[in-house]
Amino acid sequence: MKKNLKMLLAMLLALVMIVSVFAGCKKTEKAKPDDKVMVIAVEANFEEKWNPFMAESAYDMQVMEQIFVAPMKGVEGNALENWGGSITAGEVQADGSMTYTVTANKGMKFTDGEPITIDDYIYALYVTADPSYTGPAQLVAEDIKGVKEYYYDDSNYTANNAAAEAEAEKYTLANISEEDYVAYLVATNLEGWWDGDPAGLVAEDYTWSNYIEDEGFGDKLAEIDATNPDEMLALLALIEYTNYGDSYDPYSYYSEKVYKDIKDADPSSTPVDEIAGIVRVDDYTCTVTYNSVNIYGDRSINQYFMPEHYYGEIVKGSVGDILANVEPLGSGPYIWGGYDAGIVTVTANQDYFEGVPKTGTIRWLYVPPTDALTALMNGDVDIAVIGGEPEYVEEMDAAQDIIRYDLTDNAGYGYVGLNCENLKLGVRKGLFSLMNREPSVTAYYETLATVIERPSTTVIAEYPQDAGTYYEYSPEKALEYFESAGYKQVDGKLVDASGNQLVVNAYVGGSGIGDHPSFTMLMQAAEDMKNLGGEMQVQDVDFNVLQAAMNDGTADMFCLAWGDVNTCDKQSQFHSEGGQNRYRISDPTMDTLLEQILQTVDLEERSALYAEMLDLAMELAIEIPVYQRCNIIAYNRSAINLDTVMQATTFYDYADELWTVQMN
Amino acid sequence: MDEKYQDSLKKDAMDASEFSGEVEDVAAKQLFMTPGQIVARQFFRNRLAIVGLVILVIAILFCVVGPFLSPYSETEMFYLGADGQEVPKDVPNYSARISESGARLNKRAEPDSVHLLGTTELGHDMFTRLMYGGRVSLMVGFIVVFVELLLGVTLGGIAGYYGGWIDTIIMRLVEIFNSIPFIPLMLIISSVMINLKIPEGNKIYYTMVIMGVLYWAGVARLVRGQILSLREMEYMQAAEAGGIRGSRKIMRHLIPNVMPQIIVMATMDLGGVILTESTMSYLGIGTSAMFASWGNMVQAVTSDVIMRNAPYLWIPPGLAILFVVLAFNFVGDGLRDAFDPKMKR
Amino acid sequence: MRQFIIRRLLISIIVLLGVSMMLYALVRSMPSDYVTLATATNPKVTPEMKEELRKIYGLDKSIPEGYVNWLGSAVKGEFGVSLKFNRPVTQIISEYAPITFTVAFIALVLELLIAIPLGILAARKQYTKTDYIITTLVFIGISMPTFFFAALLKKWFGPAGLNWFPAYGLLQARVIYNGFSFAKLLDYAQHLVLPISMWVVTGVGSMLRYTRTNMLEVLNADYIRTARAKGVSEHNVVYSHGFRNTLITLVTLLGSSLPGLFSGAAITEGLFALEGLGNIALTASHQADVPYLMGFNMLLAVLTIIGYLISDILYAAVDPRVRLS
Repeated sequence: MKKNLKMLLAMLLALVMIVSVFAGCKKTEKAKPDDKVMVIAVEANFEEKWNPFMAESAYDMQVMEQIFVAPMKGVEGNALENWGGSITAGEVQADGSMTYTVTANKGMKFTDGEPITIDDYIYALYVTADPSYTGPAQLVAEDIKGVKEYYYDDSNYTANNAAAEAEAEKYTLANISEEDYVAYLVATNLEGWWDGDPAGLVAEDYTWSNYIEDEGFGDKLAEIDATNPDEMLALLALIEYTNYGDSYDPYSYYSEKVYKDIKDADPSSTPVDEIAGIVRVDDYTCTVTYNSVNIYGDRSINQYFMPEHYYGEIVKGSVGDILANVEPLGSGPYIWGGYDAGIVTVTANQDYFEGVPKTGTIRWLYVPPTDALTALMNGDVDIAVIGGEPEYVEEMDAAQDIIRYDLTDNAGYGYVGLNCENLKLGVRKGLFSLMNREPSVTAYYETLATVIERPSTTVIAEYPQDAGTYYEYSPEKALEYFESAGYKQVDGKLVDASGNQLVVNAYVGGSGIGDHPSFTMLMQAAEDMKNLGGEMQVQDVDFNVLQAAMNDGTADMFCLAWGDVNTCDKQSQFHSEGGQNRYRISDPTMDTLLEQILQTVDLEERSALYAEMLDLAMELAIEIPVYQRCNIIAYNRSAINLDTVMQATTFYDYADELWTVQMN
Repeated sequence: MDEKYQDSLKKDAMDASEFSGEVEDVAAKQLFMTPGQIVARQFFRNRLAIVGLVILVIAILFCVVGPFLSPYSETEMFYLGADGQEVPKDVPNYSARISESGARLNKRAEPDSVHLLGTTELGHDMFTRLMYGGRVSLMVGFIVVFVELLLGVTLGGIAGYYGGWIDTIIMRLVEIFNSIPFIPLMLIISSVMINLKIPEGNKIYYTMVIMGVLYWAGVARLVRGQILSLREMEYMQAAEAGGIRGSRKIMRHLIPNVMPQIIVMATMDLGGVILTESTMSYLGIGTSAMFASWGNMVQAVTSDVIMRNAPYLWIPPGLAILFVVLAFNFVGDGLRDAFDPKMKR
Repeated sequence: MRQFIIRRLLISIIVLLGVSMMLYALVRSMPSDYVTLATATNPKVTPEMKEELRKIYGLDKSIPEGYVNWLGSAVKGEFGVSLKFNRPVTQIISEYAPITFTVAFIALVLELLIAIPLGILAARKQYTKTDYIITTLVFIGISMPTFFFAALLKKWFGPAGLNWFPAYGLLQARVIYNGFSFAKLLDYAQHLVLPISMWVVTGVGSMLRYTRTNMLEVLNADYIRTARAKGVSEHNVVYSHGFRNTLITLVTLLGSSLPGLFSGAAITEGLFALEGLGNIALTASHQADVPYLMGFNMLLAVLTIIGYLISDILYAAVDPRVRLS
């Protein structure tokens, strides 16, 4: 019986094959991809997150881009163009909301044969909006109607949150009552400090009782039972409140708690199973509504069509299984072939909706930057990004017959950020004047980078190209600024009114060998500071240390770079409530300007506002602009048919049209 | 060659015996050497050990005395003006000259009479950095070895001498320390340490103390093993019978007998630590780039452009490390052969 | 013997507990946690979202509480999901262990093949030119930083120099192998020549030194002198009488090289672009990937302890004078 079934299946299969062969013949000669293998080098190891919801490294994403299709794609000049569908912005409504219409092309298929509908797009939105989603594309960060309600599972989120925020005002450091403060310290065990053991040690040979006495509460200690943990904790909380009231953070604790209480007490709050702002219109259309205008909304919601039938249905609150699937299946020009021995393989999708890819197989592998050029020259790889040493440019110039290379400006810029809470304005301006940027940048990048005068990448259309130097390098001028901030040179030392020396620290990630474009500039500044009577401590540290120092506010200065910048949205950085405001800058004019920029649709008007905002940023001395660097993409002439490769630009290169690239 | 040497010794001995009647004199000359003399004789028979010793003396002189003779400081940077000439430090408008358009850092300059070994990637004088770097590298070795010996000998001695549960506890501790992988541990410790705001210049010394604390386990194992076997020797049992105090027994009888092994281990570890420091520099957790160490200087070799175009930046620190570590190893090996009576042929 | 093993195993459990506590405390005390590092460049992430992520990853718990949780799952054999790689820790280790092990094992065999004969030779000819040359050559290998050698090897023998061997990766990407074939094996072998050479060059020194010292001790022992006096041929003296006894100590050395077979060599792997356990552990340390670091380092700790145990047992097995109690 079983055998028969197998036979039947085999015959059926054979029949299908014959039919499909005939079907193929009937059509006008369908083009076939070349039976060739194209090898592309990447600059770092893959993270092996082969799932578009999770992929974070540029190299994982580079592969995902060939496997999946989104409604829009980025093209020349940082613009968006229709691709697997479209996203169109509607008019701004009276209440400030704005609706995007998203469509999917008819007739597209996933590579397993299932047709694509708008549900596959909506599916992707819901996965990224889920509370258990851990990837980088958090939809809840967008001001989409109903997304916060969905995320927090609270139908009255807006009202409850507003109520909670108002209520939590009581708990800011300025407003909080002693009772609440102490209650918070008790509830959190002194933010985790208290170990619950009254006889325990605070430090070596130093008990809680010793601590209490040293803090001046010896008499209170005598009144309580020093072996009862609760009484001890209560007393310690009182001490901490009295002596160290400003070093704890009751506000975050209470705002979370208050919100939870309000939500639990709200009888009308019901669980939310749908995002109100995402509405399915028909099989190929849906709308996404934003509460406020966001000129970059279309970029944020441009997500891949993800096959729900393959990745599995969403169970709200547990999308872990969907995220753990590392065998991607999409509808892009290439089909996932696997990852083995450090090499990713994809093969041509002959049903790709734009046409048949030219090259049959593409493989990516990691080649260390020091080996990339050699590998390209001797034909081990066909396309590579050449980084590392500026000398490689000379070598490529000398080998023009083997190699073509395209220089593109990187979508990002290098800067030194200043902590505006730690450093007064005058000090910040003084530090700006100590930065001899050009020799530092040219020593590191030679011709591959230029010094910038405003803290922004120069590749976006809004950048004021004619901006001049705001602060010249001049130790004399720096001294004037320091003096304006109340510092004076006394006995060769730069001290403030109460006699404290000016000491500034600077964190830089130079791999321990000063391997950073800003490093020599900081060393020079440290030298100059010493001559002026101050001190600058340059800390060459690992990235995680730099992050920590920056986040907890110990770093006065930190050298970093922004990457992947394709908008002029600087709200998250310079806005007083921005998520990445590591500068701790708070300036009302700045806030207004930043908000205005994002709502100004006209490019010229927006550019003017952007220039004004950047000038203000310089005046406030927030971020020292350092460099704009280039990327190099290089191709092996004998391997790649360069007529099929466009001239690469910042936002548009061969990878965006990889399916059309042909090999010789 | 050494057979010939032995022959000549035998001949000496025979010659000596011919002078009967002056036995004492001869004995003072030849037959009864102090242990120190035996060790020294055996040590100097090893040519490699002598070479090692010479290298070490030269290296120490170079690093300790050298910096006083250098006209430049360790952190001084050099610039080229727009005219392509190095900007002298004493021109009045120095800061304007080094920031004028076209001014550059004088990096990776080839060796000449001004900069004997050229300038580094960061525009420092290479020769000066080499001397200061050696100071750090050697210092680092000595600190780590000192700390590891202090802890290892004490704890290993206690474990070996007292035995029982003390031994069990200490040996389990040794196993715990040996089971923790070194590199991830140092990465974590290093980042924790920076967070404690230890000044950059001193960071490496703190790291080294911690390294010593981590390395004690090996020393303790060795010392304990030796003491265990020594305890069974007759002379110790005699001491026992004589009723000598425990601490005195450890200090006077046991430790001196373990000393040879400890010295050998210490010598070799000195070399090992210099290598570890360079590995840590490679991982970005060694001496900070502002200050020189041979470890962070030799990193230059990993950039293939420097490797091809600027050999004067990686060969000198590379050779310095090679020679010094090799020398420590030679000396250690020579000492081992010399101390061990079983190895005399 | 059986009693000895049982007692040692029981003690090992205590040691492992100690190691795991120290490791957990260390890994968790890194200044930035995984969430901070992973979201550092994402401008849209708010503090609230980070808190949510910490809850999902279990990083919101205090160190003692987190440790108890970890221990609870670890004894059940669950080591969790790597934060950085988003895959189960055991899966990552089992995927990369074969290649790491193969490289280390081949290197170990080669080291023995080089160190033993040369070590014996050096010992027999102590203080002669042969001894000096052998000692100097192998000592050079342990007197240079690993990365220094790797850079030189790559430069001399890699594509940029003589072009004898590939300098990065495991297989050439141009050829697609279907299934297992001799050609694929050859390709693997070519890619592994330089990394394995690195292991051998940097590892053979200590092994040779060990052989030479032990051989010297043995050759000066009374029974060897007796054998010589009896008129046993020099060859027999050295290889039958002498080497057998040196073997005892060499065998015990093998026990302690057990963890090294799986720990990988982060720097060699990094320079030759071989993704192996050592390199992954290094990435994980930089990213504060708690589950991976715990899982991997505990594996090494277990191997270290087993290695000690094997050493002791082997020692007793080859040397009848040693009694385990």
